[in-house]
Amino acid sequence: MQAYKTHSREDRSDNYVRKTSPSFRASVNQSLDSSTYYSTHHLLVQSVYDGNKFEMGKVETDQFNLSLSDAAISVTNNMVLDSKGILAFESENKSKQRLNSLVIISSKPKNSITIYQNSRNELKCADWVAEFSEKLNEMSCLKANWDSYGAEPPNEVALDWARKTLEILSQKEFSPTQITPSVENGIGISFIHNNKYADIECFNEGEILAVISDGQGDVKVWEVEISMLGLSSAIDKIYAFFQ
Amino acid sequence: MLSSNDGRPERMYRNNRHIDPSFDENENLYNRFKQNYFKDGKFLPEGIRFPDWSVNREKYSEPEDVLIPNYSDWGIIEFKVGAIPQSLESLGDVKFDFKVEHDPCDDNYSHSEVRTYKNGVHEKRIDLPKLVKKEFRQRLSEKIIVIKQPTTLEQGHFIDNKNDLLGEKAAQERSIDK
Repeated sequence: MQAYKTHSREDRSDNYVRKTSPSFRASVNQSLDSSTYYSTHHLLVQSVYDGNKFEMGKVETDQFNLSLSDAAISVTNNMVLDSKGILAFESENKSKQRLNSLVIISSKPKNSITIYQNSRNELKCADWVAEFSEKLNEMSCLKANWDSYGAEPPNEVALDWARKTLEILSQKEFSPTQITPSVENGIGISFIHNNKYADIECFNEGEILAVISDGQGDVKVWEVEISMLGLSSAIDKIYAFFQ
Repeated sequence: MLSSNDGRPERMYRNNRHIDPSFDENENLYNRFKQNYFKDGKFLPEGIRFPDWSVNREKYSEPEDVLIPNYSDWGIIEFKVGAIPQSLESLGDVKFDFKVEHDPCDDNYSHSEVRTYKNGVHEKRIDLPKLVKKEFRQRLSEKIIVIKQPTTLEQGHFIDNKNDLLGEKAAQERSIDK
């Protein structure tokens, strides 16, 4: 099963949220798998903002509108929210065409939405986690002086903490904007939204530093405690900064 | 005018010229970068070296000189002398000053360094608090403009007119607002 994740804090080329007021639009501009050729498929939509924000029995029919850009589709039963906050509904792809663009509109401005196609028992890691994990693997292959000014490649210490950071971000469903090697010998995990910036930088020496900046001159830097709890706390601070 | 096999123009050679300690606040400084440090209109601080950061100065060079001899597919960043944070203080009231200084090489007269002074003294291996480093890199990154992206990432091209870059950013914002 494939999971499609949307994020309200970034603009990614293949998978992103566009904010409008008072609602926002979450798009998955990505080809769905071959099962979408069949006449009927199931989608599960889960609100991931504030956990179980929507309570059973309180889902309104206008809370989510499903539309497809190039295929006729209709929701054939009522949306149901289960105890895990998963909103489930059955839909029918009448045209039997490949579905290229799925748009979900929520009247809740701050919600981000995860779309699971043909949900069964297992959930695959979101695409961005795989993408950034691959980037980390590539960084391990950098050679000394990769920046031509003498920078060392990220070592196992930096890679290990960067992977742990990514793991926590995955658990919190909070996608970074970019992951890059640092010319100061380590790895930077960056977050950008509007004019705001934040990052967590894991250094080869084992230190972890973080920064948030509003882009208007207010810059705050701090040392992150070297532990999963410390990382989690730093991520929460960054998440709150963007809200 | 080219003067060597590696494509180095004559202007880059020192040719017994003296150090020029005078920098105008509006003089541009240039550096190259390879990794994808340019994202959503921002240059990421992970691409900034500290404390002694090599740059070329505008007064004696062209931006693309930082790509010589064999970095033609790298990107170029630009920032003004006046964009360098003047000073930061660490806990314990230790003051760190930052300034650009002309440090010419025989084959790169424009070469300069953004240097750090601790309580008025510059040392090559200066002991800097990590949070001072981090803040400096963040503040400077916010003033940096990318004038050429690495070719391998975005079919790199010079952004001859900075309005082009602003136009890109505006297009991104328009896209988000749709």
